[in-house]
Amino acid sequence: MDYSQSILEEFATESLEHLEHVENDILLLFKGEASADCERIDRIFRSIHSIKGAAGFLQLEQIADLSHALENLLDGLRLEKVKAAPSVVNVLLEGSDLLRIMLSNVEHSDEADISQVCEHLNALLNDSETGEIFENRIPILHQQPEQAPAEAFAASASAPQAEHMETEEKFVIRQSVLENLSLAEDFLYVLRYDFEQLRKTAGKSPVTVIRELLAAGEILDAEIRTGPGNLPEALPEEPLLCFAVYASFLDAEELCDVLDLSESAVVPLNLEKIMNPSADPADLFPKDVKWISFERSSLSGQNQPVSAPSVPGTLETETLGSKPETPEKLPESSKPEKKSSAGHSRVFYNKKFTDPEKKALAESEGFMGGRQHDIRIDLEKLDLLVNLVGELVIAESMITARCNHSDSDSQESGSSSRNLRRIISELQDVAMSMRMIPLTQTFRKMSRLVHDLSGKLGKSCRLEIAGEETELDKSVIEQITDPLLHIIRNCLDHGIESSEERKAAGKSESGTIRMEARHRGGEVLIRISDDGRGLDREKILAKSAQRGILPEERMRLDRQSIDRLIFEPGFSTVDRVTDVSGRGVGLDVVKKNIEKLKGRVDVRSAMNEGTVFILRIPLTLAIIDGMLIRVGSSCYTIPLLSIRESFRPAADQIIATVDGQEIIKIREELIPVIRLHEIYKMVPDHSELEKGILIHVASGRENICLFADEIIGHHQTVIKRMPNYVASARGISGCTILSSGEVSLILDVGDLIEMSGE
Amino acid sequence: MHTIKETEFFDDDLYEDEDDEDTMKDKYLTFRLGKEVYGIEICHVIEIVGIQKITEVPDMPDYVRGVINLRGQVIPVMDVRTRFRMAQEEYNERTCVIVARIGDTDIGLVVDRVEEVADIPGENLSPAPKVGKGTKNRYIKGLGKIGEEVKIILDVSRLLFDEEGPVPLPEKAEELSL
Repeated sequence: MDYSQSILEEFATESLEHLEHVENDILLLFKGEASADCERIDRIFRSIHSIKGAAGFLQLEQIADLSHALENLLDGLRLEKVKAAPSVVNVLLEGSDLLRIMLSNVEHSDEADISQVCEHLNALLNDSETGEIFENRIPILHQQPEQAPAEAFAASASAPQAEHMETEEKFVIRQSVLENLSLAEDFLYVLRYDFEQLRKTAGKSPVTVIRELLAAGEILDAEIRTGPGNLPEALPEEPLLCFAVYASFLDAEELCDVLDLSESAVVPLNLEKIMNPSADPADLFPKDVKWISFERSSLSGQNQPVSAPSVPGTLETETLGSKPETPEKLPESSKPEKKSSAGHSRVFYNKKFTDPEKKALAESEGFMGGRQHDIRIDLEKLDLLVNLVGELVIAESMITARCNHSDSDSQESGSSSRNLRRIISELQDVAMSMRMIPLTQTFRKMSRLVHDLSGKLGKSCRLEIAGEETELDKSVIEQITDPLLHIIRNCLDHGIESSEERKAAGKSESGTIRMEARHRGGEVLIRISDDGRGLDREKILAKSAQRGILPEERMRLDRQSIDRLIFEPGFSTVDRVTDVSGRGVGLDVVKKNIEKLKGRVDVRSAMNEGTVFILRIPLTLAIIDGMLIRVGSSCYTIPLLSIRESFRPAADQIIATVDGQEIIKIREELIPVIRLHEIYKMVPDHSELEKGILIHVASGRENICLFADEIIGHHQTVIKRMPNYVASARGISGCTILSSGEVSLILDVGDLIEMSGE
Repeated sequence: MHTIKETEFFDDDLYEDEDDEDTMKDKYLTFRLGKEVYGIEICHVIEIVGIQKITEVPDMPDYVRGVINLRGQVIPVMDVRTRFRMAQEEYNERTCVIVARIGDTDIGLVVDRVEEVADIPGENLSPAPKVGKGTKNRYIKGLGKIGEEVKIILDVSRLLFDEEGPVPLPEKAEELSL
């Protein structure tokens, strides 16, 4: 059962990936040129089709049914039977959403209720076909999911039941498979395998067969007829048929030899003849082969499969041909067709694009091209690699330090150690870059959000995106998605005005949110701007006062500080709680999450011109810039980002309160002092503040000064987690290894401030 | 040429495996604390390293000395003497850190010196005495006899996770209370 579990998981992951592309393409539909739409629809169709195929293979009927319904609608769009309209986009999105939900819980996907979405999908289809609105629904469950989409229109009406039984046992070559092929030197075949028989006679497993095939050519399309049984159980003793459209440089005779196939199981195809629409259907295949049929692409208007004439054939074809007449041999075929078709699957292989233009297009869109060069790696392994490289860096610096001390012929060792350092630092860069992924997916989620929300709020708004190729560490990306969602939501809900308001203010009716990302130094800047009404400072002040979050020095607040009040916990200016934002959690969560990433968030705003949110995020969580300080015999690292300044205090700056709390006066501010040696129970070099050093650190709006013996220096360092056994230590966020090999603890400033408050 | 049949491969592998398990069974790493000799099951032991600079970690019980860097892996270190409430002694060149793994936790145990790997068959093991003096009794799994000598076999997971210890993450604790 573990086996089937892992297959299911793999299926779900892959399908979810498909859906990501699908969703993006759906959102882009009907916004640009019609020709681009055609390609998009094709692409969506292919993705949905792969999902359907695999789902059918795994007997996930609901998923297969839903994707089938989606397929039908897409095909309708392709044939222009369905008019492009915003409602189509919404229904498609609805469908892809439901698919996603089902996929994220694959095991229980069959319990999902797909009837409503399917009805919507079919309604659109019927609507355009018959002109009746939501009247003549065909409940999807009664359709034949495996039926090729092109057939679905014509066939459901005219084709008699018996013919379906026959096509069921046939291998249908689809024109779409044969398009875009350049087979100047290759031969094209249809192969028929019986895996069961091959296993018995030649001792070949299906995997061996597939390897053989791939060694001598390319599989263009394949279909396997599994029995009704549960796959994880032993395979049934009946023939297990597999069909493949196969391109190879071998001629038919060689192929039979190499692949252990009888001549009758290898049918050469004449591509030109097949692709010629005026060719006589009866002429396409050799006369004695009746198990192949050809389905013209629906565009040619010929929807019925072209069957080879029925002539009683060879031994193999007889076994096949007898099946429809003796259904009792295949228990499944006596049951409703929907069932038996669930055992069928059609596997699409990524076709190579031969048209250079198309290829470039595919690659630039990151869809199919180049995918073969990717491999999936367990994130844990990557982390391990990054860790090991970190070790290497440390080990290298220890060795070079040692060499420099003891060496006589230092010039030679100097150059070789420089070489070593260079290689190691390159290695480190490569290792870190492997964890980097572009922001593309994250940004796409935002376009979806804007689409959905602007509909819900009745505002017209579009999202402009720039710099989506900017790369960030995977774990960082995972953690900025929520903050970004919050910000976009706020822009839409509070920033962008309604169309009427905008018109009155002399702006274009439709609002624009712009989202751009770019690298700067060791950070990534993400800028989210809208052209809405901007922040209302009066309202903010009033609200803050009402909520009691207004700082006392209110008179001295400049405009910036007022704007920043929106990041305070419990702040919300919209009186009415909307579905979108305004629950009083939002921007403060944004700020907290960004700070957790050691990043920062800021806001700028101009009345009636718009608001800009700026996020500064470190490239990775694995490395920080730290300041190394010493207290007694211990070295601690403080993240540079939280340090404001460091100084040796003068005696007149120090104030002690009655309860012994020391306070330092810096310019006009009064900041409490935490003696690190006291909270960590160490023996310091100095106990007088004037003799040591104070490091002024901040977390959020809280400030404290940490008292240490000395500052050793600044270093960039790889962060390690504290071992679980000692993870309960307070005020420590992790540790790092110094070039001496010693471990240094990284101080968590936020935690320390909390501790000092107790 | 001599051809190896597939089955031979399998047999060999199986044999090796069994052998490997055999080498772990009934074997104990013994070490000295003061005058007494203790043993822990060899399957827990990963390696033995010399004493090195330990970085103190705040908020820990006194017997958790801190963390050390073991080739890039940061592992906590426990002073077994302090854990047993024995008199403190300066670390010297014979002081060793036994790196042990219990479940998911790697930990270094600081001991006076490591003695040997001793073979103590099951029949020579007797259960821990019910009554006894001192704190260390609670960590004793049994007594092993080798000729006239008696080695005190320690229960490593109790040593680590007995209620006096720092509170481990809940799921870890479950795994470890075997």
